[in-house]
Amino acid sequence: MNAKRTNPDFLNGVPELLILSLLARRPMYGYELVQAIRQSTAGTLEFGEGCVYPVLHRLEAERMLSSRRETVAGRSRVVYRVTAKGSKQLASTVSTWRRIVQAVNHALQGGEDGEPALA
Amino acid sequence: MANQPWLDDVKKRLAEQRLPPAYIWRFMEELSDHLQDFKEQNMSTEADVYSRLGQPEQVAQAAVASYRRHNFFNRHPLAAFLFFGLSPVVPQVALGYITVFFLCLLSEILGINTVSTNAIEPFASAACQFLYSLIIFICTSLACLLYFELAAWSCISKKWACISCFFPAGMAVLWQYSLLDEAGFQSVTLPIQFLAPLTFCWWFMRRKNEGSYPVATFWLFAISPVAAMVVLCGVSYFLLFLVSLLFPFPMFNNEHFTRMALLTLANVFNLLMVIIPSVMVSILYCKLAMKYGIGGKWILVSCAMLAVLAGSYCFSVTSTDATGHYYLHDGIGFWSPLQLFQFLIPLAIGLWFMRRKSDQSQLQLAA
Repeated sequence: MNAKRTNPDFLNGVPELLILSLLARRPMYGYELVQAIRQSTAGTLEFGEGCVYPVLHRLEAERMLSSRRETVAGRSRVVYRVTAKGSKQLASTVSTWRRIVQAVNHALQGGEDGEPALA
Repeated sequence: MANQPWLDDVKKRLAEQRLPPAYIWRFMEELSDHLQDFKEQNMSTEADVYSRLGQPEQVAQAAVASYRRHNFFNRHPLAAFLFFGLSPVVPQVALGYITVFFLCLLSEILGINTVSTNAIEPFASAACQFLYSLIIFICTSLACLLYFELAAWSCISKKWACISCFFPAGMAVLWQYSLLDEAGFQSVTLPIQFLAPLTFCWWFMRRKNEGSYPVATFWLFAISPVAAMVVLCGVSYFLLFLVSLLFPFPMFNNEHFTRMALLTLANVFNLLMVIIPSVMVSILYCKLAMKYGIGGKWILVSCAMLAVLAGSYCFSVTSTDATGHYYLHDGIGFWSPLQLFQFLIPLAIGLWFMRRKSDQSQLQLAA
C-alpha cells in the first residue's frame, strides 16, 4: 500500500473550510461531499472518506451546519446544509485564509527585508 | 450487508473508546449509507473499501477526537469541576433523606415503636448503628457510581470521574461521625466510609465501558421520580398558598357545614397537591421510558415509587377559635380509602403504559 502523507500541520482547519464552502453552494450528503472535495481540488486533497463524518458532526454540534434525513435519488440519506452561523464563520475564515495566503506568498517571493527567492 | 467486516471493526473500536451508544448508532448509519453509495458507483474490492474509506482505527480515532473536542465539559473545565467535583454530594444526601423517609414509612405501616425493654435494647442500638452505617455506605456508593457512569456516557477525561468520588467520601465520613457515638465502632466504619468510594473509583477506571448504565438508569427511574414529585408538590403548595392569601376561606356559623367544608377542603388539597402531581410525574416517566426504549420493569419501578409516596401522604384541616382561620396539617400515614386511591393511580398509569408498549412491540413484529 502506498504511504500517503496525511494531515500536514499547515492544513489544520482546511477540511472545515472546504466543507463549509462546498455546502454553502448547495446542500449535500456525505458521499456527494467527498466527491465534491476531490473534484473541486482536482484530486490534490482527499479525505479518508469515513473521516468526513466526525467533522460534519462537530460542525453540526457547533451549529454551523444542520442535517436532515431526506430522499435523494430514490434513497434516504442525511443531507447537510450551512446555517446562518456557518455562513458567517465561512466568510470570516475565507477572509483570514486569503490574508494568510497572500502574506505567505509575499514572503516566499521575497519580501522587503527578506532574501530573494531561490531560483 | 457487504463489507460488514469494515463496519463491524469501526463499530467495535468506537464502543471501546466509550462513545455514547446514540452517537455510535448515528455514525454507523451514515457510514452504511456511504458504503452503499461507494459500492454502487465503484467496482470495488474489500481492499478498496479500506483504502478509500480509511482504516477502521483511523476513522474511530477521528470520531473520538472530534466528539471529545465538542463535548461541553471538555470545553468548560470550570463547569466540569462544579458538576463532577461538588454536585455528587447532592444526590448522596438526597438519597439518604429518601431512604430514611421510606424506612419511617415502613415502621409506621408495621407499627414498630421505640423499644424500651432492657433485654433487647443493646441489640436494637447496635442494629440501628449498623443500619445507619449501611444507609450512608449505600447512598455514597450509588452517588459515586452515578457520576462514574455519567462521566463514561459523556466521554470525558477520566480525571473528572475520579474527582467525583472525593467530596462524597469526605461527606460520608462527616455523616458517619455525626451520627454515632461509640469510638470503637467509628474506628472501623470511618475508614470504610472514606475508602469505599475510592475503591469504586479504582474499579471503575479499570472497567471497560459496556455501553449500559444500570446505576444511572436506577437513579433516573427509581430516585428522581421521588424528587420530581416533591418539587411539584412544593410548587403546588406555594401556588395554593398564594391563592389562599387572595381568597380567605369563609367560616360558617353552622358547625355541620363548617365540618363538611373543612373535609372538602382537605380533599381538594389531596387532589391538587398529591393526585395531580403524581399523575403528571407518572405519565412523564412512562413516556420517557417509552421514548428511550427502556424496559418495562423501570416503568413499574418509577410508578411504584410514586405510588408509595402518593399513597402515604395526606392532608387534614382544622379550624381555630379565630373566625376565618384554619390550619392545614400534612403527614405520612397509610391505608385510608383516599390514600389507597392515591396509591393505585400511579400503578394503574404504569400498567397501562406497559400494556401499550407491549401492543406497539407486537404491531412492529407483525409489520
